[in-house]
Amino acid sequence: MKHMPKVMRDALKKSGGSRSFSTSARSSMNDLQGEPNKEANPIPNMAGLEGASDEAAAALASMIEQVQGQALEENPGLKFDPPAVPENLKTLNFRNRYDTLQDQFTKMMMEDGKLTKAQKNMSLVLDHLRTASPPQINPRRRLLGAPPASQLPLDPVLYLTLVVDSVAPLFRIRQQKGIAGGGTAVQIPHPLTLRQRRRTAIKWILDASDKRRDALFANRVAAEVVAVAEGRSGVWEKRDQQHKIGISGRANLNTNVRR
Amino acid sequence: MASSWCWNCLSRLRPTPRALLPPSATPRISSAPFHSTAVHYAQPAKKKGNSLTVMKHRQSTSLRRKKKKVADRGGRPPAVGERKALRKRIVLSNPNALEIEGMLDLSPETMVDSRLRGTVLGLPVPMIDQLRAVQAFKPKQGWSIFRRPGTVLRRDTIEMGRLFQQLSGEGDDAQKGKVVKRIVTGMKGSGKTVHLLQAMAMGFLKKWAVITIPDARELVSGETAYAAIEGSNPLQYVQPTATSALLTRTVDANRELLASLKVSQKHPALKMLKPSSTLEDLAKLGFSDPAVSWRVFQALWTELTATAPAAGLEKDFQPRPPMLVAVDGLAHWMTESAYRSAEFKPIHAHDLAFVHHFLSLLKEGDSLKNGGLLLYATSSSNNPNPKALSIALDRLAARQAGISASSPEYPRPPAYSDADPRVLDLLQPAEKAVSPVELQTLGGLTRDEARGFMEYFARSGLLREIINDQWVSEKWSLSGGGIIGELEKFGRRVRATASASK
Repeated sequence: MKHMPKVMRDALKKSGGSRSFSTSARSSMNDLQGEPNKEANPIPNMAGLEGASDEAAAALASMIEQVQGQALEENPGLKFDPPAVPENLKTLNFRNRYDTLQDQFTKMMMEDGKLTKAQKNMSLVLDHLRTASPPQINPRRRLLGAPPASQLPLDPVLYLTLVVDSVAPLFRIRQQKGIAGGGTAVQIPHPLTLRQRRRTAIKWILDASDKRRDALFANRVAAEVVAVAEGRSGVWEKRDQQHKIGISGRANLNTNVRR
Repeated sequence: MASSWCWNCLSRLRPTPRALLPPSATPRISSAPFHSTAVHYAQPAKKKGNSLTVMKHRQSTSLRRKKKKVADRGGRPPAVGERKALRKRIVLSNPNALEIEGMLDLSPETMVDSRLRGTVLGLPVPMIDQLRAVQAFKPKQGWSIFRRPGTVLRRDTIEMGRLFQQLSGEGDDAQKGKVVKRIVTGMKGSGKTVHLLQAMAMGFLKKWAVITIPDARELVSGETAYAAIEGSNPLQYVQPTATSALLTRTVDANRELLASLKVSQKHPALKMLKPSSTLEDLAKLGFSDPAVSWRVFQALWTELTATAPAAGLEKDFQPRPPMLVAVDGLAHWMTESAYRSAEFKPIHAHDLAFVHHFLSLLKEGDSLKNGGLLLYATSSSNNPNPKALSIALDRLAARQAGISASSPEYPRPPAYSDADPRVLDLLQPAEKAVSPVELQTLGGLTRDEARGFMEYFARSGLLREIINDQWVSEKWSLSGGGIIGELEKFGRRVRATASASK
């Protein structure tokens, strides 16, 4: 501190403090702020300097002001028009590139964190749905809100979505202990969100596809999806079972846990 | 019987000091009426309870997890070749895709029509078997999602169509008998293989003899049998099985043409050949017997390149048609092969007689006597990337741009590089000669062509987008300036319709 120039030492003394080292920094912004603001409005200044083009510059300045005023009136808070956002944002961000259900299905097929492999498998599944013959819909097990079966292969993502949504259970069964007493659990239906419902259905489809005999994983999954669409798959029974338990257990919904 | 021990003696036994007697290993028998061991020598009673800390002897102590049961898939592995057949399967039709109304076929008229530029022309249905025979379709190409195979008529295609017209001796500037030699390069996905396919289709349309090597790698990867040709200097090697496969391909694809041409030369090496037989019969000799297949191929080649009949065989000589020779994956022929010589040295690919035959066609002079087209394409997805070839191709491009070999801009191998001189010499013309080989670099489609291509997807019912100029030019930019392989991915990628997405 003692080797500092005198000016800085004086400045430090003024600011007070007992530290033996300096914590002050001279801000170069102070000098700038101290000066009168000359650069803020360049056009009038320039007009003042050049007498010859005085009128033209003034006209230009007034025009710019007018346009800016208009823009401010139209979009308060924005100087320019807001950027036009394309409608299909799905193509722009790589995280939202795929359909929600396709993304969820792909990630549930993933093993060991190998997403690219899962995506490849998903594209094989979709290609299978696209090229296989249209499903023969079982009238007792229709897909929810589906177009005619002949149109399904042309929109494989819709096909997959309808299959998953049609076998998705509405609730899960919660085993609640301590209601009935004596340590027996009571089965209580518990509602699921859309994503949770789909997750359950995808899990069932993947589990059922494990028992198939095709050599290729993608083919097993695709064959199971087609089987669900045709009402042949065991996934439907699973869903029916779940719903049956849920219906019988809905009497327990309002019971409280005994303490 | 009375015991020889006396009770007194037993009762006088003193308890032995503890240190002298080791603890007995035998288990204590509690029910024994008579026992001489004191209680404190017995083993300590086992603790009750099933504790995990109990040491297990003669068993592994490491953690054992239950393995997930693998589903039984029939109990036996797939049959030999089943999985390969599945991998190499080529599907050319999707009955679910919509049929495009008013889709034109590739024909001698449409292939040169510049008004149709940018439209997708279907491959004629009777020709598909021929194209399959020459293995023009590759498994990873996206033929399987369309109703029927079709290709875009792009600028290079129309230009090639005109070339076919000229070389066949039709049109205004007919150049019958000329040989055009081309090396086709381009970025990955720029359509080099499909360009070859279009060339083959045009060759079949113009009734040319079409000879193809669908994968150059198969000849050098050490998968087929090989044998040295005795007396050749430098030593050359034949590949009988590969030659036999080539003959099969050629006959399957060009059956009509070969059946119409009669043998016109003398082939003393082939004793079993009758003078009145057709070229189809000649080629068939090599099918069954790989030992003679190379000689049969040479005989077939002399027949196809013959300009005049030999003495005594003039009776039904017909002029031979021009030829198309198409090779895919040229770079594999520009390194050492996987084969080994008797001294266990690697054999250079140029020492294989088969490869040498097709590479020597690139040299100066009319290698195809009746004219025709040589198309040798490189591949970027399956590329050994030999340095010498890239330099040779750079030189070719420089020569085409008018840079002389003496100028400083002329590409040279880097100092101390081990660029293969045989490869460099292959594409190097002799002094002051014009280079016999042209370099054709395939780039991207133009926006109009890209629009036609994307409309093909939309009209097949595969792409659910409104195809307008803005959308097309967005995809054109995203595909690196219209690289067709990338455009195809945009067409294939499925996006949900509005009703399904949530």
